[in-house]
Amino acid sequence: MIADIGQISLLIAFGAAAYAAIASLVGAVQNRPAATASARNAILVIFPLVAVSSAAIIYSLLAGDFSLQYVANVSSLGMPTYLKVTALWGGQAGSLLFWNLLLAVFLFAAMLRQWRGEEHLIPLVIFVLAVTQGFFLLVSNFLENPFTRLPFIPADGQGLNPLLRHPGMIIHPPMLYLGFVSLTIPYAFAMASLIKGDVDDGWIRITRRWTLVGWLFLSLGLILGGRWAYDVLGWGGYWAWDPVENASFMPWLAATAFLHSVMIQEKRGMFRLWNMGLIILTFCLMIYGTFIVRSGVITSVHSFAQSPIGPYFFGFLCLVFFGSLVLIILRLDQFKSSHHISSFLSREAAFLFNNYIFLSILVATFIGTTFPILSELVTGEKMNVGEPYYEKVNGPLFAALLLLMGVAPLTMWYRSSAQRLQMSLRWPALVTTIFIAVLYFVIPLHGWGSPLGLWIITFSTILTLLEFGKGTHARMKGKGESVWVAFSSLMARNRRRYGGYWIHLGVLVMAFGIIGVEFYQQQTQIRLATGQSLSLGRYTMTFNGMREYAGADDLLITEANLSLYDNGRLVKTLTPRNELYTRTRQPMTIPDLRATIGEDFYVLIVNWEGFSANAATFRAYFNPLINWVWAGGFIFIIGTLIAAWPDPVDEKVKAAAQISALQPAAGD
Amino acid sequence: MKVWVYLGLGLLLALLLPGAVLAQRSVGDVTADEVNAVARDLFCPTCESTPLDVCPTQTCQDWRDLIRQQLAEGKSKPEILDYFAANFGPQVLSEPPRQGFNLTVWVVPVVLLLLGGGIFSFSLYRLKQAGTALPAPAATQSPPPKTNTTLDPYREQIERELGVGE
Amino acid sequence: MAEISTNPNATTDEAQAAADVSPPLVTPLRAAALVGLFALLALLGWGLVNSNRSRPIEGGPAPRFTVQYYDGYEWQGKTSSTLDDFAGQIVVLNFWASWCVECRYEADLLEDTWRAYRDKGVLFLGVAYVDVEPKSRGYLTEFNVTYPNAPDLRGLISKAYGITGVPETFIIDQQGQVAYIHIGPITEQTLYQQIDRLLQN
Repeated sequence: MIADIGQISLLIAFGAAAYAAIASLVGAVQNRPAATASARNAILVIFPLVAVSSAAIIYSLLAGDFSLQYVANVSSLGMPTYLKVTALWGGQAGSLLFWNLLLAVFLFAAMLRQWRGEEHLIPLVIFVLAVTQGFFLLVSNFLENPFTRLPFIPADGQGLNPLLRHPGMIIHPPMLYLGFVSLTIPYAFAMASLIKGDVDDGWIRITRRWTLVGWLFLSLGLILGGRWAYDVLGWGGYWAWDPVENASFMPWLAATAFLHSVMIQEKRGMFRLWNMGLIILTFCLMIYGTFIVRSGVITSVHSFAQSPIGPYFFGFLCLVFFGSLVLIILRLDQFKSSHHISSFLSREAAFLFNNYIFLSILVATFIGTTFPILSELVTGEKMNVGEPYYEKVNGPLFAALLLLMGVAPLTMWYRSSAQRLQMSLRWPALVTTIFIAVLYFVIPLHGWGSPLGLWIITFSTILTLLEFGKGTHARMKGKGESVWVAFSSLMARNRRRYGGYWIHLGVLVMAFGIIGVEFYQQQTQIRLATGQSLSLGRYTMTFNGMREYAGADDLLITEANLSLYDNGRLVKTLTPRNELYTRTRQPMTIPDLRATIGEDFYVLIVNWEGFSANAATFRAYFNPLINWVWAGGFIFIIGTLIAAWPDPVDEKVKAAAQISALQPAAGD
Repeated sequence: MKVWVYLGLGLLLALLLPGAVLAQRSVGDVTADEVNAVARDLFCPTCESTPLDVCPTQTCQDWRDLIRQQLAEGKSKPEILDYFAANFGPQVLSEPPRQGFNLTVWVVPVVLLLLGGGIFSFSLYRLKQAGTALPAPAATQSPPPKTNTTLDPYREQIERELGVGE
Repeated sequence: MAEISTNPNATTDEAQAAADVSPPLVTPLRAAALVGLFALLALLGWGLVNSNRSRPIEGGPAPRFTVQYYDGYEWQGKTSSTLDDFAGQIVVLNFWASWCVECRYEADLLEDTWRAYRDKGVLFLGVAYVDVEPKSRGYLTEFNVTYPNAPDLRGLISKAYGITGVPETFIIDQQGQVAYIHIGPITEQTLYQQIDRLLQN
């Protein structure tokens, strides 16, 4: 009954999207505001309708209505309530519905805005949004319907995949989805501008915050995904260049390139075509990512199983890609920007170089991710491309990016003097070199990769901190403020700029942690009988014994008791465990760790030989600086929040900008 | 001439023999760490995209045992990887062997990188050309070389950009 | 502020005038880029279709393959054969693995049936799927298997037959057509029934 309501409501939602697409097209072509208004109303209706469907699924999950195939697949009676709710996005059909819900929320919000100054774009914006939402609703209704019934009613469901029961996995997909769906708005405005042939900066200005919010969620999703992998997947790492990870990383790369190059357009009116291309690329990569993850073309740890939706997603991808491309080509002459660069040593050139590196990383990642399909076509064998490839190709590119991150803010628009740049770089370079030299012998560092990486990171960090210092100093001198007032008002008045620098700092801190783990991780695997110990780094770990007990929800838990000694001093009792979902026979390995600022000691059970043998094999990792990765991620998110936070000052500025946009001579 | 060849061969044998004897170890002497060092570069065959060293399935356990056995026989890591590629297909390697079509995964990024670098430099150059053909706006933009006393020109720029001096 | 804002636009207009000749819409470079992108997408599409490619169907031709037998498990003394070598016989192609629990349920049945039919023009062929040789041999010894057995070298045979897991059994008729496909451990009744049906033809 409830499920039927959900089903009907989902169907009506699809109808509304289809109607909105047609009506908005009529509104645009025949210039009929009534049609546009009607389309807008239709879009407004989608959100409540999809919400009803989602509520129906959640109700069915909570009530244990196993006549629904989806409910039987992802939930079971014994599951805790919160997991029953989050099971909404624990499987293919449900997560597509959830995707639809989030997209509908964003569309709803977008439709409630006035979009003053850009009203002429609205009919076409509605059209693009309606087509996108319509496609996803089509998939949800006719290909992966969460309301599909089973021919019989099982007594209990299969339960949620154990891998997906971690809090990280509960938050991580919604974050990624939010990022993806919110990037749909700037794409729709870009396409509307393109179709209208009105390719000035309007769409960028008006969707800037949407882009930033989308990017925030994408970043958050990526960081949470890393933490989830570290906590649950049991290989002591946080990022494996898995096709699914790459699928969400690629749109992030394109969006990041966009966020940077958009500043050139805002400042100088250049690279309009380029920016349009980047937002299209971001959207295409988002669809491509969804396609890879959900179609099972490239199988991966957490891909949904092979699914019939692949060809449809591919078709939609082609539609988006070629539709956008043809539009761009048709409007090519409108993009003619006669601007120029005065010097290779300028902010413009630096941003361009930034884009070059970001896109290089993107291309390398794309090739690595797509290569399995390609090699199967050519050689008949599906070749895997694992971490070594990405580390070799992307590593140096990331290093270049980090260096640029420090130096670029010192360059000026139009032209900077090489001499002055040299002067600003001389002291930081010297300090950095001395610092790294000291580290080299004290720590000691080894090889050339990590000293070089650390040099770049330290150098860029000093330069970034100096930016904060200079800005504060300028305010102190100019306005006579105290240090603290100067600093905080600097942040408040220039959110975007200093939010950006916070983000840079976050990335640098993360990079510091990544260098630690990548170059100085130690690991060992050893079989221990009760009472025996292993040593790793400063740590000694003694195996005290095992216990076995039943956990909640048909779990059988085997837990090891280990004493961890840091330089001979007992610091923690570690209890890594193996969980077995007895009914479905799905095993899970849960590591335990001791975290400090300097490093993590991370241990998991590889194999337990039973009570009679009284021995088990353990795998231990010594992960230096790993927590800097998470700390950096935190700073990164705070920075993004600073940059994206709406404030009254900004609104005033925006209003002023819109007024001045009417006057052709307004530049800065 | 021939003497040298024999001498060389003799030397080679002398070097190889003790090595070969040493290389034969009992399976129990091979540590899990040595096994993992090889397994790290292989993928689990049944669950895709999972490195062999961290894969918990029985198949992976068997594979690691085989690696252990081969290490005990004195095989080197490349030899073992070759064995697995030959028996289970090159898709089990985490890094595609650098031969044949697989080279494209290495070559294409480099080519595109260079191509992109070329396009990047070229467009920069062209934009620069456009700039020099026109009266440089930078003349008014960059502060005139005034008698710099204490004022850092960079800070001046910041002040201007931040609008502090308004 | 003011001095900056007036600058770029002043130069813009001049440049606009200078470069007012609009270039052709489609240049060779753009066309090449477009074709390149199209080719990439087409390739991806093909890959998609390919990866969803259907397994051999009952009544369809059996994919060809080459096997290299385990020592002691050869067919007619040959160390390797192709599917064509078996023409005129019924081939019961069974995919298994030593780590596969369900394979053990059918192991004895397969061996017994082979012994019963080996002189009637029926060939049993075991193919070990991602299995290490020592373990495979252990399994073959454990179940006293005597019919030809081979490793699935480079995973090519299992791929050609698009198996979804082990055990899986394909019965190929005398003309090289797939007559019957069974996923999971096969039962005595099914096995005999299918073979007898083909033998009667």
